[in-house]
Amino acid sequence: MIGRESIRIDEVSMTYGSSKILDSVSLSIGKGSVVTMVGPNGCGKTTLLKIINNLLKPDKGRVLVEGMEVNSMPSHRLARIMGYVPQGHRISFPFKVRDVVITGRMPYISAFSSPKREDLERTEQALSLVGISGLADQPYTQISGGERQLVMIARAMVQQPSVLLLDEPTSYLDFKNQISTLKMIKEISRNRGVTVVMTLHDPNHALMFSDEIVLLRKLNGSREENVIAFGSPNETMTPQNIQAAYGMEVEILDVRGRKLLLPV
Amino acid sequence: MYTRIGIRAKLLEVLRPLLFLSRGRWLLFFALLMPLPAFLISMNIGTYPVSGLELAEIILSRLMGHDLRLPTVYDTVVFNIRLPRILLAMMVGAALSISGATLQGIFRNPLVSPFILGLSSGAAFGAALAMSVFPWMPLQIGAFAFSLLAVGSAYLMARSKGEVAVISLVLAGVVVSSVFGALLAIVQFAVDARSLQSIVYWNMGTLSTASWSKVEIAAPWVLAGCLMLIALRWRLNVLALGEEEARSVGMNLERYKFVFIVTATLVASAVVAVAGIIGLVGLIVPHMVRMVFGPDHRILIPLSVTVGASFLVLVDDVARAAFSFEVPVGIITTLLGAPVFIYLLRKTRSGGWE
Ligand SMILES: Nc1ncnc2c1ncn2[C@@H]1O[C@H](COP(=O)(O)OP(=O)(O)OP(=O)(O)O)[C@@H](O)[C@H]1O
Ligand SMILES: [Mg+2]
Repeated sequence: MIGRESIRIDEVSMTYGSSKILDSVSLSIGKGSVVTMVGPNGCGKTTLLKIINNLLKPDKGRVLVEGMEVNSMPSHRLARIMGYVPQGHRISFPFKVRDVVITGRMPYISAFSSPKREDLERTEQALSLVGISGLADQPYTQISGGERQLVMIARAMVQQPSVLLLDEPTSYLDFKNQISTLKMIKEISRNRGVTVVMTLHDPNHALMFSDEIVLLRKLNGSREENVIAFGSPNETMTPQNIQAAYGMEVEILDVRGRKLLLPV
Repeated sequence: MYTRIGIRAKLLEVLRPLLFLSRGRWLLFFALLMPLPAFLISMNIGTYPVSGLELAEIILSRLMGHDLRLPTVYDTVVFNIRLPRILLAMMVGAALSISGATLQGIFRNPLVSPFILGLSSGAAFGAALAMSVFPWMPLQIGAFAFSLLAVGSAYLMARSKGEVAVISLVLAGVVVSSVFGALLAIVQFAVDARSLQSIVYWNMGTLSTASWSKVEIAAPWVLAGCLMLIALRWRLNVLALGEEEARSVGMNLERYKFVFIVTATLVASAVVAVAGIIGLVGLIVPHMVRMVFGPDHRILIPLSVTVGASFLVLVDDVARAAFSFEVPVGIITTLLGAPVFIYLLRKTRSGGWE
């Protein structure tokens, strides 16, 4: 499944005000792979995801998705290729969960029309895929933060994307739901060949569920690069690299053939 | 290929939802058809009450050209006074409500109304200019141009880094309103007593000067604007989830915001220009509809039209018939709307709308 290039990030730089967040980041992400970005708070993970989704324009560099530059693509075309799940999301009006999810059909619905039966069917499918069919008629304002994250994943899925961007999809989820959601994301990738780029804070989750990991650091005005390592989980998550990213010591345990990172 | 049975099956399929309507559906039908009973009730209120049957008779006699069995004064009352007034009231109510509902969706806040953004102050200033300083300028154009200017500047003032914070928006609206209020005061200060009188009267918001020509001036804008907003209504659901969320599903955000703001402003200022400033309708009606039917704009937008039309025509009945003298309808809607606003404000604080 993993093969051709899906996303190409080409020397992307980003500055907010006077602080440089991303400095000439280049990455190539294979089609159908699950890639996790790991790094300390404020190192620019969300920024990079938004640049990939053309929600932010980089100062320099460009992003290609399936060979096309994202900022020159019509917005509805990009939205048919790429779904985005934000880090946290709240709304003012108590829309039903179903009505929130169906807005993901936007790129398929022409200006003067509303969702049709097919859009509704896809919405129901996405709700059950994510396991929240029971919430369909609940007001979005009255469900938990974790449930809202699942709703936003379902919303991204009705876009029928070939690339799924998720910003900390597990941040509000409980112990068990973190694992089941990551499993689900991986299954979506495997079953449908969807390229997944996500950010996670738990390095052990990243180890368990990623094909490749991008380990990022926060720029400190030095001549260091953002990307500490990019590659297979085992190559990336070494104690030296973790030290470089977080300035913290970790130990690597081998438990039943699986690697486990433990703070010292 | 359609066989007879095929057609019958098709027909059944179409009619079935009608036969097994849930309570919510009946309510929906009632709200959609509400303008009809509101119209008939309003016809029946006044010095010369006209029942539905009498109305049919009066209209028929006009169409057919035969004599009316009722006194001819009924014909005059219906055609010259009551009909234009009722139609104008309905149009104004519909326009203010749909405009309010639209802007609330765009700014993701149920407290936003066209007047909060300074539309009314801009319109009042533009209308005053047209009535006094620039008599060559049509009132409609003056009010429209300046209300657009007011809303536009409030919006631009509140905008920073591509985000429009609700609180900045409200504050910007306050500033714009004050500025246009001050400009209006200058005009009022400078003009003669007769112009001043008409400016003040215009500002009160009344339907008592309703005429066919006013109906004709506002109707095309209101009709076109309502059709546009109804056609685009689902897009408001997408927008109401947040700007980044809308963009990430491929919405051309700036274009839609522009279209919605221009249309909502156009519709509201067209009726403000013919009826003056009738306050808080754009807040009360969408709120009532949301309470019963929820926030989905696919339902909210069309129902704002029908409920808004019915609401204002009924309130206007009170304005013209409840007291021994006629009260400007804007005063009543504002007094009615204040508690709704306070209620919404408290609810927003408590997080219900967050
Ligand atoms: N709109 C903005 N204006 C100015 N600075 C910003 C803006 N958005 C982010 N930043 C800064 O850019 C840096 C990177 O932010 P970003 O949200 O990409 O970090 P992150 O890696 O996603 O962090 P976290 O793990 O906490 O989510 C942070 O230092 C943040 O303060
Ligand atoms: Mg982040």
